[in-house]
Amino acid sequence: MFAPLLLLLAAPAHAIQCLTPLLAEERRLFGPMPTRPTEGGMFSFEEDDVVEYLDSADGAVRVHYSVSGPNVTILDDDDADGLPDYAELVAETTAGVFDYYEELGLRRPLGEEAMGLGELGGSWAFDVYLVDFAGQGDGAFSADACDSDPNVCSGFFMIENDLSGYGYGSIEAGVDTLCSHELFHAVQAAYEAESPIWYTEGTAVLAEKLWRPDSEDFLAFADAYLDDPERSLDNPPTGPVPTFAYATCLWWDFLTTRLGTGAIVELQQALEWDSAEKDTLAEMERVIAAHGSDLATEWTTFSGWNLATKFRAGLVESYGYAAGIGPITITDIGPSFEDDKRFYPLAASYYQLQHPGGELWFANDDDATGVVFSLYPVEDGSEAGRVQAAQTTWTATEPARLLVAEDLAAGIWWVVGTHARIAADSAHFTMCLGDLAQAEVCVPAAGDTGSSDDTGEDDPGDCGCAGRVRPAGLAGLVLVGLALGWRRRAR
Amino acid sequence: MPTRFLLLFPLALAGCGEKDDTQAPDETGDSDTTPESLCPEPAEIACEDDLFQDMLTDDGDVTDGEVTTTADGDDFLTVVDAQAGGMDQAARNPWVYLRFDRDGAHRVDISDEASVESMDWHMGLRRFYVRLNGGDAGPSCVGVAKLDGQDYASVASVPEGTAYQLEDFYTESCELTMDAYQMSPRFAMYGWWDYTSCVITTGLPYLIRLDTGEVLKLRIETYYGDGQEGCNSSGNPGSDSGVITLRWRFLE
Repeated sequence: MFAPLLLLLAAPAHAIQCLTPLLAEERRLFGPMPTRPTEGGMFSFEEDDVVEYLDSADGAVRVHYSVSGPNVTILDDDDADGLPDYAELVAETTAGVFDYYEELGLRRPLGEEAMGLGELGGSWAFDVYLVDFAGQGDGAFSADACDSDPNVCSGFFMIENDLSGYGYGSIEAGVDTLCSHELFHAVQAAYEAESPIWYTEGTAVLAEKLWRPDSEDFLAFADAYLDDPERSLDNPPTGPVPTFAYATCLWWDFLTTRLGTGAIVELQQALEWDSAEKDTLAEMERVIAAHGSDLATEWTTFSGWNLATKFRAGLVESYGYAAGIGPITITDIGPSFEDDKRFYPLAASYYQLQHPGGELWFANDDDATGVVFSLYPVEDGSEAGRVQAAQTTWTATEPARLLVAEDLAAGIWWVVGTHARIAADSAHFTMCLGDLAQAEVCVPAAGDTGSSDDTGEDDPGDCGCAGRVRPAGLAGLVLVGLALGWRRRAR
Repeated sequence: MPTRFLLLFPLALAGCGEKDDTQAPDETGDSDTTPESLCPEPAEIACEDDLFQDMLTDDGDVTDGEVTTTADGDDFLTVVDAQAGGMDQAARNPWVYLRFDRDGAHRVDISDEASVESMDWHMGLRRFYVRLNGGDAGPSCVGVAKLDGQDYASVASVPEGTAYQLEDFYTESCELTMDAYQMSPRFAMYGWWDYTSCVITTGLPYLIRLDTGEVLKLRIETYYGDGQEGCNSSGNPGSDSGVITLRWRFLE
């Protein structure tokens, strides 16, 4: 007996519950199995179901639905054409999304003929099935067949038969969400069938917004990203359907806002199978560079936009919907910080500084290469104030103390640290922020090393004596890198 | 054709109970006669960075999950509140760290951050994650041997030639190896639970070899603070998920 697969959906309330990754995992573990709902797949019509179908006006899409039985669909027929309006809506929406994706420059999903299969579902049209997910999901793209070279698949998708008990604002919103999302998976499968989940799901949620700009589903997942900003973009939590993978839609929307929708199309094209494994992050970096920017700039800006959300939105450039998501999860709050911290790549940490006024010092006790810090003022210096544009940005490499500001006004400030590059590991060091004495906790003053393990026998390269802090984007602040003795943090 | 299941469980492994703080946690116990360690120096954890992002917190927090140990005949029964704030919050809460001593199991009050440098703990628990201090999970050398097909009560001694496994849930390139459910890293103690409509405890007995070389037998009896029997027999989920009961004793 095969081991069962468990699904734990921890998606935001009223969000799509796409089972595509689960079905892909089933296929990986167990191999090709009959999956069409008419063949006894995981979600299937039953013997008691009376299954009928209708085609979209352009003939590109065929929708299969039950008019009687356990999977019966919504049978309302307001236009009295003898066909259920819900099934018609699914057919025409899917056909519309087909055309829309093609207009964006994306490939159409592969049909069964591309895989050497005969007509499935009774025609060559793309098949959609309306089945009862019983609250255990509400949509999934499933492969009929896959090729290994190129690594692509053809298939169909299933969505809920009546959306009863789901939280979509309207039937139309639910159909728009599910059809645009699941069809995007079908498009992705025509390029590369095994891209990582944080990319496939995140961009599929973005596709929902591209099709329906006021997508509430997108907003719910965008909001969820702000709950976990310290997690690397490409490292969702364990489990088959991690919310974070869907929530990366916020990054993809940021990129398309900054670089244009074409960027996401170019990335999908760049990921096309060509007999070599594609590194999604590396391809993403190349696309950003092709648009005249760089990953560090975009990621640092993204981290700033994410701060300027909810009640902190309004004064600086951010998402058009910034006031509707967030606020960001705060790493720490206080007048000063000493934090033994792992700054993971393509993630960000948010410190709310309750500055008493005067000098602001920063220090790092170990290599901080790749980490960018930004200091954001707040309107009126108040905790609930709107965030203003970054006042200064700095980077640190070797252990050093740094005077960030000579005379910083008292009040609330934000310091955002982000490891804004592709890297295998985190940057792990203790960060000190506050007055000079606080900075000296991380990097003692010269002649005050005072550590029992500071024997003077360290590798010369460890001493940090030649350390230079290279500030970036200074705005009238005095930054002084001090070459100081230091001790390596015990690991 | 093999039967396949898609098991969907909004309540699965999910916690809904309040922590019971009515009793003070046990103090960390140090045996007066600590045997010589099999691994006196802490070993480097090859995928430490990934370990943190995948399952540990790094904010210095220490659990307040209660640990109580009582005697039950020749066995100890140790109840561990490993709810970690419930399913949704578990990833943001620290593990409960245990040490098995001759006078019972004690909570070791260290943070996840400290756990990667500490030889003091033997077993960590958070919800249905159970990890041992060794290999990919910690700097010590606590290992486990599964006693497939055996009954806990019938295990009276350590079988000759027993091989102990250290935690090994990362590949050489630090990719996480998941269990067949795709719900948990494949911890060395994999197999103590199963799932149909609730978390069934399998009763699988284990031999756990501590860093001291001492060996104890152990089985995980409950995942639910209340209602495990109903789950195991009838598939009805219990309550207080993540309140785990361990039955164990040292083997001489």
